[in-house]
Amino acid sequence: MAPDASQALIVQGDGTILLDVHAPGAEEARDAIAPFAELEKSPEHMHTYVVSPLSLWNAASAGLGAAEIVATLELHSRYDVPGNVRSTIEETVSRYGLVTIEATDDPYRLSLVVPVESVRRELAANTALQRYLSPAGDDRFAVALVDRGTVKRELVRIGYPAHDLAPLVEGERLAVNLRSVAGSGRPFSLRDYQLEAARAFHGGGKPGTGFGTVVLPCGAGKTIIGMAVMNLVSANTLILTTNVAAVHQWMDELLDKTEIDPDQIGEYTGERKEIRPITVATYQILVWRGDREGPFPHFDIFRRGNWGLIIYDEVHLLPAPVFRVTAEIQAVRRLGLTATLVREDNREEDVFSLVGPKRFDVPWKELEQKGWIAEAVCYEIRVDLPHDTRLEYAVADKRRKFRIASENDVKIPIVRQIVENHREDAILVIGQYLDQLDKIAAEIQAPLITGKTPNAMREEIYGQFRDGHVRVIVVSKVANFAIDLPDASLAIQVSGSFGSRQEEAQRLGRILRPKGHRNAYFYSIVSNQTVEEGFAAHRQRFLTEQGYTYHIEHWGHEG
Amino acid sequence: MNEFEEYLLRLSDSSFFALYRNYLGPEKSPVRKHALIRELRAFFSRPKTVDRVFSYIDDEETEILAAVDLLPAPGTDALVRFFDGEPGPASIQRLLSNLLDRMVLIRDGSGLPRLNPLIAAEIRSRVTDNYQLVRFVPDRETAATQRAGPWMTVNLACALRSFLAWSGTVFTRSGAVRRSARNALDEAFPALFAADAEGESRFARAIEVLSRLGLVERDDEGNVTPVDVTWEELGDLPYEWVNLLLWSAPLAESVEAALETGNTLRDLFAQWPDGTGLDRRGFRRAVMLIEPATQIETGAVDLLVELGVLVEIDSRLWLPDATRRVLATTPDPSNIVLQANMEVVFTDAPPVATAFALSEVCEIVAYDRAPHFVLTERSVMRAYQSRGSALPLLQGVAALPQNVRFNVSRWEERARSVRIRRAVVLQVSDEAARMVAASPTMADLGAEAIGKNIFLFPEGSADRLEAALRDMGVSAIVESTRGDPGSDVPHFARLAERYRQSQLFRSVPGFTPAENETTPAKRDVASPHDLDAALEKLEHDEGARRELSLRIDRKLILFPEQLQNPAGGGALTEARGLDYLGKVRIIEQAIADDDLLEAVFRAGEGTPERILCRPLELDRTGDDLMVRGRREPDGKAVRIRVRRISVVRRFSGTLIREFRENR
Repeated sequence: MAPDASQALIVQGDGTILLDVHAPGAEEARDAIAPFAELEKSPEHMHTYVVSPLSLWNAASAGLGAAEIVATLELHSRYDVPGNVRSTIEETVSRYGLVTIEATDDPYRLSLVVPVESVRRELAANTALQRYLSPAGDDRFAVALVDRGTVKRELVRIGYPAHDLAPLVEGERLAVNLRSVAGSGRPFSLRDYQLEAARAFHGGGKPGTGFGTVVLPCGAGKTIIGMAVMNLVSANTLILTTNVAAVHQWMDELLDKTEIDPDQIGEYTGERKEIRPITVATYQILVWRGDREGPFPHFDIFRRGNWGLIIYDEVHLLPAPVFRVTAEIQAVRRLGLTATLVREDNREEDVFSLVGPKRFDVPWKELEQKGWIAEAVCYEIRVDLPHDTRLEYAVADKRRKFRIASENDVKIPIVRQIVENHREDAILVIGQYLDQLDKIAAEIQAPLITGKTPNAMREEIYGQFRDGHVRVIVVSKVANFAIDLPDASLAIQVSGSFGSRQEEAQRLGRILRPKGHRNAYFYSIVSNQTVEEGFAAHRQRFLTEQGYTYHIEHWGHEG
Repeated sequence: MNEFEEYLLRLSDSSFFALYRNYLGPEKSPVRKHALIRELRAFFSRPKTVDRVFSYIDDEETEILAAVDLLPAPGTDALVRFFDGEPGPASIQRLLSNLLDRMVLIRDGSGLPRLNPLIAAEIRSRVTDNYQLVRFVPDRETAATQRAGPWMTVNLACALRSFLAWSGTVFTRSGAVRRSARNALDEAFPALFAADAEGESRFARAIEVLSRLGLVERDDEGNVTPVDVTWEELGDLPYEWVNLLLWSAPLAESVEAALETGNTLRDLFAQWPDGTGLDRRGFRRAVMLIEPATQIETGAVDLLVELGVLVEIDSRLWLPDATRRVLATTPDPSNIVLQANMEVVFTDAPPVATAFALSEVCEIVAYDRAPHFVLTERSVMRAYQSRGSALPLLQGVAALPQNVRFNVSRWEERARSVRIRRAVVLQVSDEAARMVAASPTMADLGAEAIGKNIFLFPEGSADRLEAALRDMGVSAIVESTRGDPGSDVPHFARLAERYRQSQLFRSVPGFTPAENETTPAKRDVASPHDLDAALEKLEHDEGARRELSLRIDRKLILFPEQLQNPAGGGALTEARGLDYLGKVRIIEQAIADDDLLEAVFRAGEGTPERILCRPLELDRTGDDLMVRGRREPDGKAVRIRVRRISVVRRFSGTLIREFRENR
C-alpha cells in the first residue's frame, strides 16, 4: 500500500499508534481508535496510543471484533498495518470470552465456565489459580465469591480475560439527585465530557460495565463525575480518598451539588467513624492497624454499608492492602478517579484489573483548549549552588547530592522574587523538606501547612486562602493531592520527591481550575548543574507528554 | 565495403571456400574472391534464403541471438556468464559455431560475434525480443509482494548508528552477538533484531553492510564504532542512492563496485514492468544486459532477497512495491518531528544528511515504521565533541521548543567547560624551553605552554613537531605516537558524481513487453525430414552422405540443391556408444588439429555429465585410454576414461574453423 500522508495514524510494529495531530483526519482517527487504544502521551505534534491486551479485551467486552478494529486501523493508517499487529489483535481478541464468570444458585459461589478443554486444563494446572478453583462439572469450576477479583486478575495475567456475566449487587437504593442550581447559588450542570465519562462507566447497567477508571486532568471535575455516577447508580456509596481535607471537600461538594440530606453523609476518618448511606473515608484509616502483623480493623466498612458503589478517588494512590480487599468485593460497582495513572511501583495493571479498566480519558491540552481547565505556563528556573556548598555537593553520595540540590538556599530569594512578581496571584509554595519550607515561610511570611499541622488548622488556612485573606501558603507534600483550592493560580515547586512524574502533575493540577481569562503559572526551581536537573526532567515527562512545555531560564543569585 | 564483406574477407581460405561450397556449390574458375563474396551476399539477401534461415532458428538459438545482440561485448565468456549454465559452455560454443556456419552470425573486427548485418534488422523484428530473453512473467500481485520491502534503509542506518554509539562491545570474540547487546537490540529493534537466531543474523548482515561502506569500524574485541566522517560523506548522496548503496554493499567488494551494482539495480528496477516476476536466471540476465561488468552471482540474489529488496515466491523474484517506493521517495524535512519532550520521530523519509546528523545527536528509543529517537544529555555532549553544536541542525529541522534549545545549549556548554583533549605533550629542558617559546614555527604549530618546560600541541602534530625541533637543532624522542584514527574514507559524492557524468544516463535496454503486433510470433522450426528424404535419393558415397547428413542436422542445408554438392573432406566428427575405436580416432584428430571436443560421459556417481574441453593427450590406463585436457571455459584440468564416454563430438564439422582464435 502506498503511504497516504493525509491519514493521521502510523501503526508501529510494537502495537503503538502514532497520531499526527496536524493531519487532516486526526480528530476522526482519534475518535475511531479510542474504543480499543489507550492514550499514552500527547505532546504537541505526535500523540502515542497503545493497543494492549487489556485495551483490546475492553473493546471486545464492549462488543467490538478484531475485524472491526483492524478495519479501523486500515482506514486511518498512513502505511499498511503491520502483519504482526493484525495477527496480535486477532489472537488477543479471540481469547476474550473463552472464559466466563456466571452466577450460581449459591449466593457465595460463582461458576467459571471454560468450554474449551485445553484451556480448562491450562487453568487447572496454573499454580496461581489452583487454590481458587474447584471442579464443578464438565466445563466449569466453582469460585468463591470473595475470590472473584483475584481470579479475574490472574486470568488476565495468563491471557484469558473473563467475561464476567455475574450480576453486580445493587446495594441499598439511594436517590442521588443533582441540583441545577448549586447550594452556593451558582448554576450547575454537567459538562459534556463529564456526562460522557459517567455514561461510559455506567454502561447502562449492562453486563461487563459498572466498574472502571476515569482519567481526567486535575481541575476537570472528577468529583462531579463521581456524583454523576452516583446519580446513575442510585445506591449507597462508599467514597475513599487521600486525606481528611479531601474527605471534607467531597462532603461539601455533595451537599453543594446534590439534594442529599446532610444526615445521609458520613465521615469515616481518624476523627469520626460514621457509616451512613454515603460515607467518605480516607485510605489511611482503612489501612490503619494496631500492629504490623495484625488485621485491618476498618476493612469491615466494605461489608457494613450494603454499598452499591465504591469510588476510589486518586486511585493511583490505592494502597496495597486496599488492592487485596478490592479483589474481594468485585460484586460491587467500582469507580476509580485519577489524573495521573502513573505509579512508580508499576501497579497500574492492578488498578485496571481490580478496580476496572480505563473507561474514559481526554488529553489535558484538549480540555485546556476548550477552556475547561486553566491554561498553564510552566517555567523551570535554574539557580546555581552557592560557592560554599559546591564542595560539599561534589563529594556527597547521590542521595545526599539530591538533598543538597533540593534545599539549595539560593532558591529562597527566588521564591520571594516570584511572589513579588505575581502580586495578583494566589500562590502555593510546595516543597518536600520541612526545614526548607520553614525557611521559606519565614522569609515570605506565609503560613505553613505540613503533615504535623492539625487538621483544624489546615482547614482554617485553606479557608483563608480560598476566601482571599491569605495570598500565599507554603505546603509540604500533604497538599499534593485532592486539595481543592480553586483560586490558586500559581505554584512554586521548590523541591520534590526525586523523579516522581505523578507528583509533578498533581502539583500542577492544584492550579488548573479555570480562572476566567487568567493563566496559571507553574514554577519549578531547580539547582543548576546538579542531579536535580535530571530528576526534574524525569518529573516533567508526564506533563511534557501531555503537551505541556517548560520554559527554562537560568537565574543568577540576584534573581 | 560493408561489414559482411569485410568479415568474409577476414576468413581463412579454407573456411571461406567451405562456406561458399556449402551454400552455392563448387566455385568456378578463375576464382575471384570478391565476386564470390558478392554471390554469397546476394544469396543471403534473397527473401527466400532469409525465410529459410529463420525457419531453422529454434528457441535456444533465439536466446543466443538476443544475447549476442544485447550484450555490448558478447564473447564466449560473457555469454557463458550470461546464461549461467543453461545452456552450458559446451552448448554455447556449439551453438555459436553453428550460427556462424549458418551465417546468422558473423564476427566483427575484434572477433566478437554479431548479428549478420544483412539480416540483423529482420532478426530483431522477427526473432529476438529482449522481453522474451529476460521473461518477466505477469501475474496477479500477491499480498506478500505488497507487504514485503527492504529493511536495510536510510532510517535503519540512522537507528543503528545511534544504537552503536552507545552499545559498547557488540560481538563476542567468536563473532556472536553478546547477550547484553542482544537484549538491547531486542528492546530497540523488536521487529528486526529480535533476540533469536534470525534477528542475530539480520543484525550481523546490517553491520556487514555498514562496515562495507566504511560507516562503522569493527575491531577484534567485538566493538563496532561509527566512523562519523564517512556518514558525513555518505550524507551528501541523494536518498535514492544511499538506499541503493545499502542494498548493493553486501554484494560488492568495494564501495566503487557497490556504486556500480547499485547503479545497475537502479536501472533494472526502473525498467521492471509492474506486476511481473522474474526467475533467477532472468534476473541475472537482466543485470548483465544493463551492465555486463556487474557480477550478480546466485549468492547475491539470495542477499537481495534476504535484505527484502526482492521477494521470492515459487522460484520467481518480485520487486516489492516498497522497494519501488523507497527509490521514488522524495525526502522531506517535514518528515522529522521534534517535540518538547525531547523526542525525535521520523514519520517518513527525511533528507539523508539531516537524518544522519540527527542519528549522531540523538539516542534511538525504538526502531519501527516511524523510528523514534530522543535527545539526551550524553548524546548531545558526545555529538558536540565530534561535530560541534547541534543547535543549527535542530533549528533547521523544526521550530525548536524553548526547553529543548535551553537544554541543548546547556549540555553543550557543559561539554565545552570540561574537556578531555587528545594532544601531544612536549617536555623539554630549560634551554630548549626558551627556544620553543621564542620559535614562530612552534607558535604556528599551536604551542600552548601549560607548565614549566611543558607545552601542548594539537593531536596529530607529533611528526611536524619532531621535524621542527630537528630544524632547531633539538633531537626529540617521540615516546608514543598515535596514527591518524581515520581510515580511508570513501568519497561517495565524488564517486557518485563520476557515475552521474559517465553512466547514470546511459541507455539501458527496455524490458517492456513488445506490443502484440510486433512480438515475434511463435515460429515452427522447419523440419529437415524433406532434406533427409532428398538426400536418400541422391547417389553419394558413404563419407559424403554422412557429411551431408550431419550438415542437415546442423541446419547448414537450406535448400535441396545444396545436397548436389558432395562436401569433400568431411571428416568423421562424432562417435558414440560402443564405437570405442571411433571415439579414440575423433579424440586423436581433435588433439592433432587442436580442436575442441564435446564429451558426454558418466561421472563418478554415474550421473551423465557434458563438458567442452580441449584435449591435450591420450594415455593408456590399464585396459582403457584416458583423455587429458583442459575444460572450457575455466581451463580446469580434466581426465576422462574413454570407456566412460557415451558421445564424443569434435568441432570440425564446422565450416568455419577459426572461431577459437577469435573468442
